[in-house]
Amino acid sequence: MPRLTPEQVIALAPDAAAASAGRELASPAKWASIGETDLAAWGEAKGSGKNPYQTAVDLKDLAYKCSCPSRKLPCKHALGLLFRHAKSEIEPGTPPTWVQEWLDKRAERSEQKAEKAAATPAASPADAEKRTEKRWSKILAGIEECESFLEDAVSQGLYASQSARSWDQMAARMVDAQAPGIATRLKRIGNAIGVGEAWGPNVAGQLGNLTLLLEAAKRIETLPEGLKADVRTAVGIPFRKEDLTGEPVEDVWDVLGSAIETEDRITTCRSWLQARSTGKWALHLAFSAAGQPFDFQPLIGTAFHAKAQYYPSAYPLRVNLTEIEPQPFQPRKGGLIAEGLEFAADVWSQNPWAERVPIPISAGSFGQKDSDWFVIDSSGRALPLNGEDPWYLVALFGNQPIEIVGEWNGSSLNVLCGSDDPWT
Amino acid sequence: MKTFNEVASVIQVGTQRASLPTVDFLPETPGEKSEKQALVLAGTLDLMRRAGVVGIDSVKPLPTAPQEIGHVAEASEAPLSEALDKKMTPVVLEWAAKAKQRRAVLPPALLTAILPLIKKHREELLPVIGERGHWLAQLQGLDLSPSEDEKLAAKRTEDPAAYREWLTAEYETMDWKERLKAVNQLQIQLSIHDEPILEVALKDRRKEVREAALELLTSQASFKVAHELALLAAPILNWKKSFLSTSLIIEAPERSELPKWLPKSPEIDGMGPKAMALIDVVSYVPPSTWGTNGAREKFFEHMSKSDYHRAMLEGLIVAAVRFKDQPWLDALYELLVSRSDIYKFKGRALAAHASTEMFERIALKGLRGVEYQSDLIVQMIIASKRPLSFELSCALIDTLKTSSSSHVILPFFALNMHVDAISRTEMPIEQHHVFEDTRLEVRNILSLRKRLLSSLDSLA
Repeated sequence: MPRLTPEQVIALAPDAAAASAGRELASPAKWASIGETDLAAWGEAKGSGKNPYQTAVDLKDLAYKCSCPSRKLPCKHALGLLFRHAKSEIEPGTPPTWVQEWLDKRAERSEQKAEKAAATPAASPADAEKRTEKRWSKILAGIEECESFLEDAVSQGLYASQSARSWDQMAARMVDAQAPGIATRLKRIGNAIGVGEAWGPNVAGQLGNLTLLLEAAKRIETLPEGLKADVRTAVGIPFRKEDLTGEPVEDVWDVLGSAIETEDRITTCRSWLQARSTGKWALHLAFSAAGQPFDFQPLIGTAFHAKAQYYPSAYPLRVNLTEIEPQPFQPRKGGLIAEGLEFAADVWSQNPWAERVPIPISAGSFGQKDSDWFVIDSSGRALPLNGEDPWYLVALFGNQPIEIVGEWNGSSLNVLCGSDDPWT
Repeated sequence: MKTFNEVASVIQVGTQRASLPTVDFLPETPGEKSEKQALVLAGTLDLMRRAGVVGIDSVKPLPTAPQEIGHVAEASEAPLSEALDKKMTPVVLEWAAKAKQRRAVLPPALLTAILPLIKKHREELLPVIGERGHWLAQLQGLDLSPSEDEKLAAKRTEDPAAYREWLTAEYETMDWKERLKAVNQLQIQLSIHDEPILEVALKDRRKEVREAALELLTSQASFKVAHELALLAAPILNWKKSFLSTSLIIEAPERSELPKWLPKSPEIDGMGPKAMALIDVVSYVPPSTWGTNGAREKFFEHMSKSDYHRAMLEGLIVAAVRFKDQPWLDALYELLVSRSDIYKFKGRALAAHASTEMFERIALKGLRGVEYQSDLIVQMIIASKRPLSFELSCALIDTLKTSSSSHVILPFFALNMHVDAISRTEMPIEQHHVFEDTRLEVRNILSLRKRLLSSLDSLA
């Protein structure tokens, strides 16, 4: 199992203060006892009280346990332990009872969860169909209302519909109609009206895309299976990973990019993975609410062997990962921008509601035109960047050609990663 | 793209006011409302636009940086990043001073965080940004060229006579700010040859220029102005010896007796015109005029009985700082701290300029409750903003166990404490969790500083 690097440990910290405190706790003098196996690290951290804090980390799933009163997760003691692990300062040992008990309980819970999932009697097809029909008719009623709202807005013009409140109210009605995906899109549109220089085309594009979704939802029965799944997902009916039936793709997956975003108090971690043997892309999504840690967060610059089961789609990208075993990172070289755009066009031609597409660019550098930033490939082709300036990467690599991975949304590229390490 | 933008414009102004462009690639939908047509058209065109992007080829990459980036302090990256995140600029500057000695340069990953600080801390940070930093600053349009003061200082250093000639020739053509800067640089290798141009500056239209010239003209006894002030100071102290005792009579001058070029000090409550005139003279005369060593103690003793003792002290403090007279600075600091009324005077200046030995001796006594008021001492330590010795740092940390107010101010000291004093912060404080929080905060700051400084130790 490859070790975490200190940078990756910092990335796991809930805030800078915890990272700093954790780093301070990485000193040997802070630990009364310490040890690790391939699966876990543990130690007794000296605190201000009489008894040391018992800290353990499940290195496989990055789960933490600590007897300290901190609500932060991971706490500074777990981070201190991880820093020492990252620096290979922990001697192998046998887990003490309290660690073994915790690991056993975790394994037991995991087994119980799997058993429960297996044992839960599947709803009778007739009942399930009835429920789906009921929900879908509710959604269709909501869609009708939403269409009228959008048409009114376009009739009067967006200049007259700038109040985000009316869009939020419509979004709330779509939540009631059990179409949270449409609600999210409405909120985004409401927040984008009047914001930035190019808000007109931006909002028109989003409105148009939403209209296509509403139209597709009304005709869902006529659509092919993959596209049907895309429409359901975009409307907000999640596909449960337990219901995935496709053949898993077994490969080594290199983590090439990752972005964390918070919307409506839900934090989403999007990680773009690439299959080592085929170059096939996969998107792993992890969610967290109220500052809780992600169940599994692939870190940029790591790799693992895993079974990836693709969610149904006209162009499947999202995966559920199982049987994850860390491997050394060794990604493929990126390509030209034109190749990336071709891939994006291919994705959108099949799934118009895919929001982003990964584009790996080899020998990319940065340039500016009229104060807008662009990434430029070795052929001289350029793509505009999103609002974030790339000064950090320019400073770090001196604008020498580097490997760049970004997310393309059709208008701008969100740079996720840059490296001067010559990828193979 | 053009059609898409046209549709977007229609959506912005409303289909009630504008008509949709005609397109031939979508099937006609007779009877469908124009709003609906606009939305479907926008969706279709947006998809075509997104899928049809080919990028542009009219953007040129920024120039690349030279490959050589110098002796990079790699090990400093993590702690320095932490200091920058926490906006602990003094800690960054402390690192920069040591890095400069080691000829180390900043890790390039931190340049974007450091460059915004350059304007304010140019002298400290410029030596550590390296080639890459200069390259990046140029790209970002930051001007790193020497300031006007630095250019003038270099000119003066290179050839004092030529500088003097240049200033004399150009003086009348300069605006007052240029004159002020140029006159200030005469302090470099100041000599009697500069007296004529300084005399001209002493009659300048602007008060600021006149005061700058006076500073220089009083700094060397060979200048006429300094001599004139010495003559004015001579009759101020009058020692009267009687059969049994000696007394000191201070004769303050009348303002009308003073030369016009001698600036008036800012008004002080309770001081009359003669007392103010006394301050004006005393503050421009070297303190050694009034005595040294044993004579100084006798002078203080007798001065305290005079009606003018406060005015004398005000003038002496300014003069001691102005002429950087260390024995007088120390003597005045000790005198005023012992009287506990240093804050009536320019205590901040004295605390900053007292010698390390004197400052630490008084501070340690004060913190241990011997001779001086500890609260006053703490205020003096804050005011001084000077690096503290290991012993004094430990004494300050120890106050956390005895003083309930220490937890509020102690973290401010941590930036100036000796980093080895971190050993004093190991033991948890059980009296109150607030004290414990302070201990940890101080400890974190000291730990960060220690890590930062030691990160440079591995460099040759």
